[in-house]
Amino acid sequence: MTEKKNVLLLVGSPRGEKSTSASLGIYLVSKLEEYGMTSEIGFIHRLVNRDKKIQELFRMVENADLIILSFPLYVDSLPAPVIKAMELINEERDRSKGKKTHSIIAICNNGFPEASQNKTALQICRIFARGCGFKWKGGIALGGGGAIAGIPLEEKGGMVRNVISGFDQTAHSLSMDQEIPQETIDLLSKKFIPYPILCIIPCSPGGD
Amino acid sequence: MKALFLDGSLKVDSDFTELRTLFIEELETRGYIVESISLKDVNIAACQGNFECWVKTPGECKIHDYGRDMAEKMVQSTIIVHFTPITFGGYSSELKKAIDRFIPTILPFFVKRKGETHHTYRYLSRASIIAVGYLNSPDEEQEAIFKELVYRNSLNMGSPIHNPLFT
Repeated sequence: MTEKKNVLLLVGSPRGEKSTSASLGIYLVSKLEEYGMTSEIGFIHRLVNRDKKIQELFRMVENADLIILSFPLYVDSLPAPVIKAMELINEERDRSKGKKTHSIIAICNNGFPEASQNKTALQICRIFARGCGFKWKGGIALGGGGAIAGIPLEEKGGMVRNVISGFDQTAHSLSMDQEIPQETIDLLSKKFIPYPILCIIPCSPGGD
Repeated sequence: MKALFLDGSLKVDSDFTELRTLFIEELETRGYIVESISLKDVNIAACQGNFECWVKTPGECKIHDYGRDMAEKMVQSTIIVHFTPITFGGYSSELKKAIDRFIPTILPFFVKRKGETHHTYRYLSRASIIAVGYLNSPDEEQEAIFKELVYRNSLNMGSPIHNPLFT
């Protein structure tokens, strides 16, 4: 019997369960569970400050076959605690000589209309994957995160149909251990809310 | 003229300590009053992402720690130096914890800049950025990402001049 693959969702927003980063990641994880994967969720801001929690972070990473890093764009990059987690994981991989091969994807959301503003942050994630010896399966960029506002995607209706369809395709590719296809990444980065409406939605300097 | 030197080093490294000293001396020679902060030695909590510095206490973060002083110093500086080990192409977590707390100095409103949406500024004066990134060995890919990050920061923060340097 084939052992079930384990997916780890690491949420990199200080807003935790109430964040758009969690909404997006949890939807993708639910789709991966339909393909028979098991899952675990970690909230990075609670995992990087105390030794005991850092060890828990290392355990979660070590147990995972696939890591999903979902975070908001903060000043053109990743939030500081997410970078801290990456530094710690990278050091731990060096120490332990990285016994297991993990796959990783990153999902970056921002509060602006343009998903393209996330490009630099996703490149940083790719270099992190390279440094740790993880298999990079792709980076997903979304704009307009303020419109999702931490609400489960299934409750947002037609406005996020491209996002839902894109994550369904992403889950399918990842379930077959493939990279996320470029056309799926393009679909996910499409604007789903008109600029004048986005201007009246309170949103963060990045996403949340 | 004030220069704020934000040292994002994660540990003491004699090679880069010397570089830091040389850089600060050069700024002083050019007439700047330099304040240097070793970020690993100051208490700056992570931004909580709750927008309160925009809507409840405009211009002020509700977290009472060194991050508030940092934002004030950033606004009062002519030059901000981002001194950091290049970390996966970007800034170290120590430098980023300071930059994330810069948010009270911008406004929640949007404006188009170079074809992209960005936030408007709360203050008229804005600092130039000099970013000094160091690597233990050359890595063109990381250097290119770092350069792009510094450019994007300058666009976001309205810096009149930005200049990434590598060593």
